[in-house]
Order: sequence, then structure tokens, then C-alpha cells
Amino acid sequence: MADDMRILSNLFDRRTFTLFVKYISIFIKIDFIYRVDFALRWFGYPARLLIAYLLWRYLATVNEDISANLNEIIVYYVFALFLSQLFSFIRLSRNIREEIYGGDIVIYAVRAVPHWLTHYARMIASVGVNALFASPAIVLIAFVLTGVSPTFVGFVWFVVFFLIGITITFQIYYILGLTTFFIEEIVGTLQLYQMIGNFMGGVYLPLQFFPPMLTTISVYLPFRYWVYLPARAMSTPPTFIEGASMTIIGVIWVVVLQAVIAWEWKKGWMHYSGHSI
Amino acid sequence: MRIFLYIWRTISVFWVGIRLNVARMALFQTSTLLGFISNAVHVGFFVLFWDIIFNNIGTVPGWSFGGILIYLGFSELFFAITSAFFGAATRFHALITNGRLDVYLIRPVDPRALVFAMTFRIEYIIRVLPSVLFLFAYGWALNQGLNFIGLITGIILASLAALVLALLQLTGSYLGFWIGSMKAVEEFTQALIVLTQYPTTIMGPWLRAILTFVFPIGYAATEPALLTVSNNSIFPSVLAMSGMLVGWLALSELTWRKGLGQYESYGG
Repeated sequence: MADDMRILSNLFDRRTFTLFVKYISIFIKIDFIYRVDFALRWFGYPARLLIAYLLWRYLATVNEDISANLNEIIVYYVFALFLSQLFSFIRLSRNIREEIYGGDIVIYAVRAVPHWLTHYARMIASVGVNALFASPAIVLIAFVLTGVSPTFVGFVWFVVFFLIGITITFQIYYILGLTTFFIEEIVGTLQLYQMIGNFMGGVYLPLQFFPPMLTTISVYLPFRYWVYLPARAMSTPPTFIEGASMTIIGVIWVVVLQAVIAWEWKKGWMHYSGHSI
Repeated sequence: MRIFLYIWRTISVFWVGIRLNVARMALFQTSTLLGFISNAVHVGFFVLFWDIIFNNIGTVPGWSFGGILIYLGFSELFFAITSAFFGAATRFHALITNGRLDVYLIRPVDPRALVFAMTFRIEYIIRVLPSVLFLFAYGWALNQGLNFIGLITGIILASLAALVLALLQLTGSYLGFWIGSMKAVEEFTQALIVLTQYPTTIMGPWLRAILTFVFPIGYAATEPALLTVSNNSIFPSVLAMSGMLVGWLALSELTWRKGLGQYESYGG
């Protein structure tokens, strides 16, 4: 238990925090070297947005509510597709799988910074560079072309949900990556989770259109923090009470998932033979 | 005689590929089982997606829910054929730029057939079959009848659409003979594939025409599904697909031969 708490409180340790910030700056430099890859990553974005726009424009012809809120729905998709494309979480899990399977994970055991924090720093750097690269176009499409006005409150909630969502999603994919300690192949599990996470996270369809029972269930699940809540905040900002309650549930998920990581990490090492080194 | 030998060798290579695939599926039974479950969940969520659209938002003009299920069935089939047979098409440029193409060129089978046989994954087809059959059967039940000739034609058209998409990807990859790395081809075709996500009937006439007569996206699922749920004549679709197939086949072959003519294998 003491070990678990140490891992939970690691980020608040001054030395670890300094190293964490240094890692982020190193990863940003690495990411900037591969600028072409960043440009290519966004190649499919216009097509994804176009097909979503065409579907909803088509649905607007048969549904008055959709017709009246078409611009807000487009703003939602602009941000939802942007967020879902910011980082390849599947690759994160597969990298962790390779580290465990190949034996490189042992290197992290002797380092001062926890393994998860190194990967977290890598993700923050990648997301930051990607966001920097794509956000001018995103803002232009979302607000200039649709005519919807951005609000300061919506932006604040976007940032809050974005930070919680990115952490929760990282934690889930990190947990899936760590399952390599116990099972050999994780690709099937990853694909399965990605489908569930994307659907329940609002990547394909905004959650307000879900049947009431599914919408209620989704409130207590961790999936909607990465895409739905930030994207929805930009198109339709929540009230303070709504936003605060969602934030509390999100923070509870962060703590619970971090405890799962600590437990899985400890159990995994007890199970590990490192035979591939 | 030479052409028969060429066909025989290609079939033999693919047969070896099929045997290896079956052996792998038998060896990694858990992965095979997870593949089935993963595909069933994937299809389940897309059925739910359209169910929500039909029940909570409104009907999709021109489509019944049964028709959409048939559309999903063809869409799954198209992706399975693309992934199973032509997974290497977008990455072919890597063989050209790193010089590994040399290894394939000295063998007695067409390099392209050899690459596709080695990357062929029959499990992608096998694991979608239960879902596709379910979607067709469910769609049939809801739609109160299917046009059987349309269904068979649709399956052939969706398969040919996967072939034409691969030819398009290969043509782009062959540009690697002149330009070098063609990663942009992967991204471009991914963007095209995204357009198969919903029926092309939601698009404007110009975009729909481009995706029906220039790129094979309309034949991935929309046109096959429409042929299956209606009594439309199959001939316009067959004619358009034949034209597209011949056009992309010719362009792909021309680019391949021109590219090979000036290939230096410097990467090797």
C-alpha cells in the first residue's frame, strides 16, 4: 500500500516533477524533428469532417431539431474528430507491450522517474505539438465557417475536461499495455476497447442523441472525458453545477485508475521473468 | 503456355499462403477467438449507431433500416477483402525505396503476387463471415425480400472495388520509383476509405459521380446494397465498374513497367 501511495504521489515530488518537465521538453524536440509526420497525420481529417458534415446535413433535411442546431453539431464534430486524432493511444499500448515483451522495461526499474510518467510526458509532448500544428485550422473551421461564437466559459470547460480526459484515456491504454505482464497478445483487446471507447466516448455520435438509458450510464463511465465533454463544451458550454459534477466524477476516475496502475505494475513485476532480454 | 505457367505459380504461392494462415489461426486460438468477438462488437456498435439514427433522429431518406444493415454487411465485406488480400498495396513503395524489391524480382513469380501472397491474411475474411451473414439475414428479414441476383452482383462488385482500390494504391506506390517515399498514398487512400463510412447517397451529385466513376468508393457498399434491396438493373453498375477496373489496371501496369525501366535499387 505504501508503494502504491508513493507512485500516486510521485508527481508531487519536486525532483520527479522537474524531470517530468525535462522529459516533456526533450520529447517536444524529438517530435519537431518529424514535422512531415505531423502534417501527414492530419491528411485524413478533412475527409472525416466532410463525411460527418454530409451525414448531418442530410439528416437535417428530415429533422427540424437537427436543422436548427446543425452548426453546433458541426462545431462538435470539428473538435471531436480533432481530439480523437491528437494521439495514437493504441500505439502507446503497443509500445508498452514491446517494452515488456522485449525486456526493455527492466531499464525503467533503475530510473528515478516512474515508467508511466515517462510515457505520460511523451504523450503530453506529442499532444502539445499536434495541437499547436492543427489548432489554427480547427478554430477557423469551427467558428469562422460555421458562424458559431466561441465563449470563454466553454473554453475553460474545454481545457478542464481535456486535461482530465487525456489523463483518463492515457491511464486506460497504459493499463491495457501493462496486461502484457499476464497475457501475450493484446491487439484483440485493444481493438475491442477502442471500439467501445470511441462509441461511448462520442466519437461517432454525440451522446445527447443516445437513448436515455445509455446516456445515463455514460455519465458514470470514464469514456466521455476525452472527446465528448470537451467537444460539447465548445459547442454548448455546461452550467457551473454540471461542469463541477463532471469534473469531480472525472477526478475520481483518475485516482481509481492510477491505483489500478500501481496495483497492476506491482503484480506484473512479481509475475515477470524478463526472458527476452 | 507462359501465361498458364504464370497463373499456376501465382496460385501455388497463394495456396502456400492460405495453408500458413490456417496453421497460424489454429496455433493462436485465443487471438482467433478475440478476432471474432472484436468484429462482432464492432458490427454491434455500428448497428446500434444506425438504430439510434433511425429511432432518435429520423429516417435516412432512401434507406430503410433493413437496407442499411445490408449496406453494413457489404461494408464489412469490402474492408475484410481489402485487409486480407491487399494490405501491402499502400506499403509497396517501401520495397522500392529500400531496395528490397530486388529480392522479389529475382524470383520466378511476379513480385506483386509474391508480396500479396506473403501478406495475405485469410483470418480477416473468416472472422467477418458470421457478422456479414447475420447482417444480410437480418436485413433480408426486415426488408421482406432481397434481389438475389443483385446480392450476388453486389458481392462481386464489392470484391472488385477492393481490387480497384488496391490498383489505385499500387499506382500511387509505384510513383516511389521516381519520387521516393510515398507515405502520402497511405494517407490519401485512408481518406478515401473514410468516405465509405456512410452511404454515398448522402453526397452531392458531383462527389457521388467521382466516387462512382473515378474512385471505387461507391461500389464498396452503397451500390451493392442498392442493387440488393431494389429491382434496379445491374448493367449500368457492371459497366461502370468494368470501365474503372480496366482504366486503373492499365494505369497501374503502365506505371509499374515505366518505373521498373528506370529502377536503380540504390537503397539495396
